[in-house]
Amino acid sequence: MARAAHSAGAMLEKLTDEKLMARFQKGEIQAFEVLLARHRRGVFNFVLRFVGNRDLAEDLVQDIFLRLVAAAQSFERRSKFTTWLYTIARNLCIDHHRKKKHRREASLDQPINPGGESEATLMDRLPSKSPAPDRQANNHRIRDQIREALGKLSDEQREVFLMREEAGLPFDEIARIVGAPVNTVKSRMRYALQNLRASLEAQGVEL
Amino acid sequence: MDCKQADNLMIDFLYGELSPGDRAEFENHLKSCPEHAREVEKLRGVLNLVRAQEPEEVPEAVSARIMANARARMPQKAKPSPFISLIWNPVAAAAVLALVVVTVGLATYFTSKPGLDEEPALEAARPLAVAEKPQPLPVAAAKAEEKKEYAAAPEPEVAVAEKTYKKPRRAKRRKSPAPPPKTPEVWGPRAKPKPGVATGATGGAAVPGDTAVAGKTDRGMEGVAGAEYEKKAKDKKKKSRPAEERDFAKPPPPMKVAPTAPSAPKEEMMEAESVSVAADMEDDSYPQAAPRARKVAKKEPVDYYKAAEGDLANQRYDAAVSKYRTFLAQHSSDPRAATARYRIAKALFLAGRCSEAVKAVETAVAGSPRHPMAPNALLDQGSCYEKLNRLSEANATYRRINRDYPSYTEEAQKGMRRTRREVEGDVRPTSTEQHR
Repeated sequence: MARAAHSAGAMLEKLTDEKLMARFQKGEIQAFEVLLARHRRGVFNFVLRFVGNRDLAEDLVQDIFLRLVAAAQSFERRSKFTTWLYTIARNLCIDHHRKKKHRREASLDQPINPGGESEATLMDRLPSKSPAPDRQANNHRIRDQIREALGKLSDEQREVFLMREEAGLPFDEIARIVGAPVNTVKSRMRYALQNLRASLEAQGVEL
Repeated sequence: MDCKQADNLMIDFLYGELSPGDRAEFENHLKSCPEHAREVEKLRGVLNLVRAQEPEEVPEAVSARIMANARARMPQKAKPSPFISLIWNPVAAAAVLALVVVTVGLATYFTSKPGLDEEPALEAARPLAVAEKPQPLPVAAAKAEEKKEYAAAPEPEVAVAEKTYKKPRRAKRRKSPAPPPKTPEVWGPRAKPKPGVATGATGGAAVPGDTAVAGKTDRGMEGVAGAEYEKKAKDKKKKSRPAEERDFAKPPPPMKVAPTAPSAPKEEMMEAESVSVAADMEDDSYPQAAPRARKVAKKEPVDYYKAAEGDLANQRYDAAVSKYRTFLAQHSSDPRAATARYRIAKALFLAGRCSEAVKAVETAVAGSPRHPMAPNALLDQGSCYEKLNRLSEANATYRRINRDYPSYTEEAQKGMRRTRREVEGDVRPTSTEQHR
């Protein structure tokens, strides 16, 4: 029995995203489990580096996958699953950013306790919140610097950079997700890299 | 290749997406253009730095929450209907087949009767008569044929038949979404619905009683024949109508429930009918009905938690704390309860309510010490202790983080160093006391 379940799981893992989605549409929860296992890390890292807040990223990832579940029946088999998934992810991240801008949410650089003696900022509080056990101290610092540099990119540049680097999507797929020509996407990618470079160098990172 | 072309191909080159020819050209350009060569190196350095970072893992709690919610919300796997299950049972399959043969045979018999096809609405009434008393049905059919002599007259009568037939069915279906064919007078004839029958049944205005029907019949005949004819027709109808037809034409109890029906226009009635049938079908469909019920049951906890999340995201910390507490008071065993406790601590910390934050962290960590938010919460607690100038407690908190959460060693040790100095500073007065 257990062997049958195991072989069924192994069989599912060999299926493409689109076939898994078709199975999930028919009510096979294991197919969704495989999809989640396959994409949760990419989506999470995309969202985490987009919003720069771990707790918020966790919530957004949950929302993304639940939206996916809710809209599962509308998924067309001809579409590419990752395009659909990252469109949902991007829309949620952008929505969050818009709300944040409109409601004047705290800047990560703003002091936690304005007027207080502590100069600690929200940014200081947010770093190093990774539970990964094997992370080294140096990695912590560089990761924080990268995150800060990413935070300074425009949304358009950041989403393109993250979709490529964190999610591993090809440029043509990114172009479909963001609704821009491929050349525009590549151009944004180049500006993103240039800005990251400038920002990291300003923080004293040697490239 | 000039610099402008190189600019356009820079990203493709960095990602190895150039054709061999373009790649060779680009590399040649780099040899002659130190500016681009430097830029390529720098951008490659950025990419290498970013790629050297280990990706973050999604906490298991988040994945588990997603799966739990997905299970609750996912479309149910299409279960074979009881009918299909029955078919797979060989004995039941034989019984079903026999039933189908008999039903088809009966249907063929009745539909082959001359003249009846011209009045599809009659079919709605006929099977009912069959179901009640199989023998007298041909008599009823014959009577109906006789009535065809006066073209306008039978129509309202048929309407009576269909209405009295249709209404109990609707009432019954509403009451029980999965109706078993218990009573032959209701379900027997419906076993083989035909388009014509359905149209006839849904097309007529709902008339609750015989009297009202008679009235309508009379009105309907005004333009066709004179008053004399009306009277004759009335009498004839009363006398000649067979007992079984009169019986089923009697207003059954459910009809009394809808007194407004007679005044409703035909189109409205048809629409209402189709809506109610659609609603019935929805109610009958298990995959749709079940998740809806769950949704309603879950609405309240989601609302409070989500509202609190929104408040926290928008820096309404006090409101967030209040909503998380309401959520916890109502749903302490909810899977998100542990996170809610940590969020309370975070909100209190961000609101600068340090004393409360310290206690909230303690409660949260005591409840679920391996929660992904635990080390951060403890860091916040340490910070709060520092702000409250309870330095030895801050030091103890940082030592605890250092001991229990190895990935936070760096920050914990910073805190330990910071507070150790302060603790030593605290100790100093002791030495000054000696001095004194």
